[in-house]
Amino acid sequence: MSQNLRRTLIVAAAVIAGVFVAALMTSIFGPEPEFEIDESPPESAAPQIYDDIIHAPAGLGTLRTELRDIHGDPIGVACSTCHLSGNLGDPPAKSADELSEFHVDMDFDHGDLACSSCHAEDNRNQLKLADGTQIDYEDSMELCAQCHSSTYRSYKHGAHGGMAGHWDDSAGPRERNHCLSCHYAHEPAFPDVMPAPPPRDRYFEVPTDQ
Amino acid sequence: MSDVDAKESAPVPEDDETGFTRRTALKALGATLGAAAFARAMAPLRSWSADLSMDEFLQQHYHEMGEEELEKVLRRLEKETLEDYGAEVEIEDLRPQEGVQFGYALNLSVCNGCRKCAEACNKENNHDRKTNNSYIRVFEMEQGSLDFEKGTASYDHTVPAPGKYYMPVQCLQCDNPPCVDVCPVEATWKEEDGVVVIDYNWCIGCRYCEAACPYHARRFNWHKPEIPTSEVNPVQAYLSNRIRPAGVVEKCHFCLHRTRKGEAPACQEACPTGARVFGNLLDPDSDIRWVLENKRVYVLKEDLGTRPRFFYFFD
Repeated sequence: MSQNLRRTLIVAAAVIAGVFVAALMTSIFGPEPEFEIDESPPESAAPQIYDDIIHAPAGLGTLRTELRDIHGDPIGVACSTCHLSGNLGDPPAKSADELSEFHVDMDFDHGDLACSSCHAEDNRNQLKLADGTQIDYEDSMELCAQCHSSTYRSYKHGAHGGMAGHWDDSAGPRERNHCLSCHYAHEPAFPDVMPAPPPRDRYFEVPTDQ
Repeated sequence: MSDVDAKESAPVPEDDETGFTRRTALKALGATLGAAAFARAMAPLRSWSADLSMDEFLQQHYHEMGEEELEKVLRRLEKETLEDYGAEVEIEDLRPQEGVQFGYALNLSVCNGCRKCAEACNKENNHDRKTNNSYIRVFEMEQGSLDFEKGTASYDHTVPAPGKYYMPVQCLQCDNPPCVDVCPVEATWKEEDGVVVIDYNWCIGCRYCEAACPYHARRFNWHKPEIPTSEVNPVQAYLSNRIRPAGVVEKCHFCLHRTRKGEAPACQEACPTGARVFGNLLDPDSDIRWVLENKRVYVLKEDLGTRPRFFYFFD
């Protein structure tokens, strides 16, 4: 009986000592490998992901004049150069047809929109969303997206607007166009163009329309 | 005995004292004609040996070459380009990337047939300038029809023309490529990232593949390409845009000298309407995957079972 009790006590003591030693070992050596695991990966494994570059046209938010700078680029003036206080152009024109003195060379072919559909009336340096929020010209894509939402969704997924640069964002940035890179806001239809010359291979066909 | 008999029965005719017989004259004539014919028949070999070095003749198949051997071949090709075209180029051997399967999609609703893609292909891939060759052929098609018989690739007027739509066709990098099946020397094969490539030095120019392709995506080099030195694209790879010799077949390779480094293909960069979408089919967040999952997509001549990697879609 007493021998059994002693044996049990010894075993119990051994177990307690074992747990204690194990706990001690963990407290000494345990955290170290954890640190190593935490520290090592961010430096080596995480690849650099490049953000998209959107090519917004230069001079967004200015009006082109006939003057040109030293590089031959047209000089733009801010809208507020003339529309300082709101006195000029009041009441604001509803459509481009009403413009008789200024902006007369502007063609407008963009649905049934009025000037004030997009331009903020009390601050000509800003654009206006449908809910009245004023935005900068640089954010005009948001304005286009109000009506052209499905196109904008395609654009967000690279199915509209094209791209250049890298398809792999860990190799380099992807370069995207802005809406206004291809579409002039007042006359947004893509213009007709002359194509590059046809191949001169064995398909020597006579063009049918000549 | 018989010898004596033969001599007696067929005596050699003696014309005169000179010993110049008709037989001698005919022999001389025959020998001269024979020598001339031989020289004429061997004439192609003279120009051939000037173009073709012994190293090139003994070159192994791309898959048979070890690293060192391939390295030598690449340097030799660079040297030959410098000699022939005066251009310093760098020819790389680019292998498929792990976890990448290339796919391409084209939006027929916005393509306006401007041929900028074909023009970019011509420049990027060191095509012959004289024939204005390119791996892309843009067809002007009747709206409401997919009949290529009614399409024309040689239109030359303002685009888009009323009642027409435009369909650029290039190699579709089929997953079941008939062109690869028919090659008698295995000079063309499908790489692990889906691109069908050609070893231009192993191709024998039989043109079976050109005939087998249902999309007319392959081209044959009838002549040595003419490219001005300043226009040679120096960024080249063995299986893609290095200048191909005359007498071999070539085709679109998804610009693998660019795309295997993560860059966009040249035709996509050149497209002014943004009709082209390129990317990794294995990446669920890629543009190409979004198009395949959200747009109405189809492939050319699906009934042939070629399983193309190039998709067309509408908005």
